[in-house]
Amino acid sequence: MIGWIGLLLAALLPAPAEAQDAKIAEFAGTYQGSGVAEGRDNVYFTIVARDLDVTVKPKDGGFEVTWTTITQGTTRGQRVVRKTDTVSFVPGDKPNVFRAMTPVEPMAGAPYYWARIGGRTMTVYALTITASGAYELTSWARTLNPNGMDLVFRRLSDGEAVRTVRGKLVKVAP
Amino acid sequence: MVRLLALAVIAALGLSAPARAQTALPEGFYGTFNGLGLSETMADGKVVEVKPRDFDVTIAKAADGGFTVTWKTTEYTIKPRRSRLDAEDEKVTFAKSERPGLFGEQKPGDLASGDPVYWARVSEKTLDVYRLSVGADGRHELAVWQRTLDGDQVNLVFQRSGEITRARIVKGTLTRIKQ
Repeated sequence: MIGWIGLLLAALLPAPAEAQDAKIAEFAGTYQGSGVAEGRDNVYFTIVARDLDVTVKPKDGGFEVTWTTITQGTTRGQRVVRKTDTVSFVPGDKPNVFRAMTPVEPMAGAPYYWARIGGRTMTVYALTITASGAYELTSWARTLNPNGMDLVFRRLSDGEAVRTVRGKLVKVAP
Repeated sequence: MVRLLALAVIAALGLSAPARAQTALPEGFYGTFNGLGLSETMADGKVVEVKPRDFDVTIAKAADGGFTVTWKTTEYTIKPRRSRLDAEDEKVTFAKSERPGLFGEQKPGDLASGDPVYWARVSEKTLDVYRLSVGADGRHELAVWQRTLDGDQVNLVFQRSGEITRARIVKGTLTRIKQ
């Protein structure tokens, strides 16, 4: 009798969250897009197509992401700096949480990466400890849509939001 | 000649060498302190819960200029028939890093496995201890304990933010009970 009740409950209860999460293969491809950046300095600047390029490749049970980071000086007139990074992630001990294959040296100023997949969103995080000991926490949340991805980029500095970029990306290559 | 002129200008203007970066925790921090404070939990920018808290912290010297911080926080929930105490203990040993005033763990935790990552910075009479943790679903929480030395007292400001839990600010004062 208890067994039947258990089976009935199992059928009625929703599946665990990870069962509903997108698979890595669904994110695979190259995406391009555009968006607008908003900062606490109230300087808005348009992101050109190449700035939001991202490529996701399934690899060794995890994935490799190549993307561009945009940084702008804190005063007007300072130039925008673009930097392209590639990081490989492998599965961690928890479902849909991934650790980076980069050396873990946060005290030396190297970013400490991790990633998660929740629902249709793949989020990559980078923690950087600055020379002053403050922290910068950057995240790239990429949510699948029928044409590609919606991107929300956020940078926090000691808990304060300093930059948010919202963009739309179209899949241009598998 | 140019170098001599530069030296002469520096001497004439009374310019001094840049202040040396702080590399050690001030001696006054070592000891055991306890005290009281209030915890304010925020939601949508408003305080939605206030709870009293007890604090105990012991800071001791560790090898090679490092230090160990052991702390216990007891939170009181006061509700009819549902009052309770929740206590949390943490102990972290910090080692000097290559950057002046910054201290890290000998081996940082593995965030993806659920281990928190700690680091600390020392600036004049203030010790900031940071903890980044990642929950079972990969979302993060950042906590900062800012302890400022004032004679035999330590003023504590704790702030918590992130994706897992509601933002929280705790303020309190601790008094030295043991050297």
